[in-house]
Amino acid sequence: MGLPKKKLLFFLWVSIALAGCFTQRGDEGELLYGRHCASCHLENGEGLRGIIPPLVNSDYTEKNRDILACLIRQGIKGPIMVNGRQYNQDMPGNPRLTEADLTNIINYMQKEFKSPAERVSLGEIREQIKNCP
Amino acid sequence: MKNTFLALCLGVGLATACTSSPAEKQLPILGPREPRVTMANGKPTVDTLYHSIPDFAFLNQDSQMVTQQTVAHKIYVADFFFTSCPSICPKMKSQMLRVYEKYKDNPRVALLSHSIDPTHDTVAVLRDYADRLGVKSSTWHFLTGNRDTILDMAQKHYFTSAMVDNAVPGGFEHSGAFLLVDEQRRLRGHYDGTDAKDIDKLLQDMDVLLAEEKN
Repeated sequence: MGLPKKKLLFFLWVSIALAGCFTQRGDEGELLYGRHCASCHLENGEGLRGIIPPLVNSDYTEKNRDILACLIRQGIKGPIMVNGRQYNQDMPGNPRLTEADLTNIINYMQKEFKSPAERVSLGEIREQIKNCP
Repeated sequence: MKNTFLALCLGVGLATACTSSPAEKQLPILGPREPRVTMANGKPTVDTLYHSIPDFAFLNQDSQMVTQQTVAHKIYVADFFFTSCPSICPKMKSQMLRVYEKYKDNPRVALLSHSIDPTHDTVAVLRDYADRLGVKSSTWHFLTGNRDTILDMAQKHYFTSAMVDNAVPGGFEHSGAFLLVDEQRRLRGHYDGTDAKDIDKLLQDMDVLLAEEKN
């Protein structure tokens, strides 16, 4: 009888620890977004009319889901189409962001701006970074 | 009957109290000032000379020369930015858009956004920027010209910082300030262009200034 109780306590402890881990990761995404993205794309992800593309419900983000981490790390040059509108403002790269940072940022975008539609995993981002164009 | 009368008085009182207060508010006049003594009919009278923006001439996005004549009989908001700025400019511009949207059809208001990177921000670049933002030059002028003249204007006359600094992203260090200038080109307000709440105050202050200038 003593053993299951101990086990239960252990599981409880692990789940609390994990929960803390996940919420912290959520905060991390917000922090990184604020530091590296928000001054141009703004806190609300709406960008600047005609100049900085929005991240909210962005079809560009969704279409480029498979290279999103590369784009954030390397930056973007030249014209792009976002939600039916052309934008042509260079985006500076962020070469110092780690794979974990990129994962957190993208999942923050997924949560707040609904694009990309699905979350990404750290493993997925690692693969992406290996095969950046 | 008596009660109705009282209620009416109270209503009118409240209505006037609430509507008349903004007009009575006055904005301060910022910057250094000095007394000027003049002799009139053998008696000395003292006037206060306020700091004011000197004459200027810059090109806007339509290749038109913008001078003090362009802002004559207008109040205006000035700021300093550059189009390729990766730091605070998009935030400033999204706030300036709010000011533009409120006053774009008011002939007594102008907005002057000075580029502090005029080598890159040519008339063509500024025109493209303004077109993309969807703004008209009749209200919002994007200005380019001699870099040192523009930086001097920022530092010495608008009292805001703008300088070349290769250590910061984009190569320029500058404040995100919006300056409110009255018809006599005196500074009447200083706001943080990256802070939506401060710009709420600017929008209120502009109404106060417009009401003041009407009298």
